Amino acid sequence: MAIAKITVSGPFGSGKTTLIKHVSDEQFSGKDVPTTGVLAQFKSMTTVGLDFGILNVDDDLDVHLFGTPGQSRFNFMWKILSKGALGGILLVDTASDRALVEAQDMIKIWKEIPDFPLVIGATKQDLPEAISLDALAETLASEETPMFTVDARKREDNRMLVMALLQEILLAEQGASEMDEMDVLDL
Amino acid sequence: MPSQEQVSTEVKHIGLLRKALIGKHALTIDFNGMEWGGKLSLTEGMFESNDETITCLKNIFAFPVFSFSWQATTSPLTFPLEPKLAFYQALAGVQMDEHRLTSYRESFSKLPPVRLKAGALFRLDAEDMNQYKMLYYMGLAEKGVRISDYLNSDDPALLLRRTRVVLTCYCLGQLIPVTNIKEPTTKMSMAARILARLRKDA
Repeated sequence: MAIAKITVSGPFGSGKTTLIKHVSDEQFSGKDVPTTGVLAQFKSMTTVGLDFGILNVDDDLDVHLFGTPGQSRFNFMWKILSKGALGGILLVDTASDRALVEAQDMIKIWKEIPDFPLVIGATKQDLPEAISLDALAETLASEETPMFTVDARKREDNRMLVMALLQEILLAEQGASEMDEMDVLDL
Repeated sequence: MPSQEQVSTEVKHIGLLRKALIGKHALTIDFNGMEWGGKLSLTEGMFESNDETITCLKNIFAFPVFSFSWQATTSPLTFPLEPKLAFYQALAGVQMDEHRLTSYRESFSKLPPVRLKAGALFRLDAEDMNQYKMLYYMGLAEKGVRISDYLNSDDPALLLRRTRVVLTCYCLGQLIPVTNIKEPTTKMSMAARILARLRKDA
């Protein structure tokens, strides 16, 4: 049985647990405990330890989805969990200054990993205080990284992010070029 | 690209624009419509940043182009303008009549099935972004998406939005034909199998 690994990361409260739930056949949530300290005003419960989900692809392949803890004190785990992964999904609450700062740290770590494709899901874009996708791309120094607005509560948005990551891997491995010798997209 | 002149009432000039951008050719392209004319200067996949560029792009998107010609240039751009920014400025609020929309639909419908390479189209407004996501999502299907299916709408406002998305993605090289797949690597094989599984659940 082969195992592929996908890492889901994002600052505290960005929707990692829900994404893994929406994509997995089996989900094993890390221990949810009451949030304490300054973060308690944002979310009543949070995950300590790992979120983990399994998607059974076929008889020979499972996907393990790891949700890395959002709090920055766990940042030593982000790189460890990303080793050997197909790629990563970064969820960012675009209406939170704190989340944006944490996301900057996370993406820096991922960018240090060679051959590590990633996609970014920008959440809470409907809120008036949300920054634009342009501003997010600039903040994360990720102007060429695929980025989608997502509603983290929506199953189809979460699944699309995972599928987008997989398609990016396929296109990159295929060496897809915009214009091949026989330009089949000529009008 | 050697200098040439073509007479066109269709959208061949859009194909030329795409080739010039993706191929990073250094060209000047002259366009003539019924009551307007315009010029685009391109080098290394960038436009010259000036009002003429945006006005010209607006015109070639919104109105018929009766003739166009191009020639190679060696003049460097004074102020390079990123094409995604130029397209955003040119397509924001642009209107197209029914005939124009039909021309685009007929022309783009001839394209083979495609996938959408997720690019950085951040500057689309929220509703255009939703339509972009729709095209991206349709392209994730096993056989890709036919643009004819995407542009199959009787709602003129929706058709206009979707046409804007297709124009942008096409010219910026984000439509990738679903063609022969090379010998798959292990990573590709895994990604393809996972995608197939997720498609089943969609």
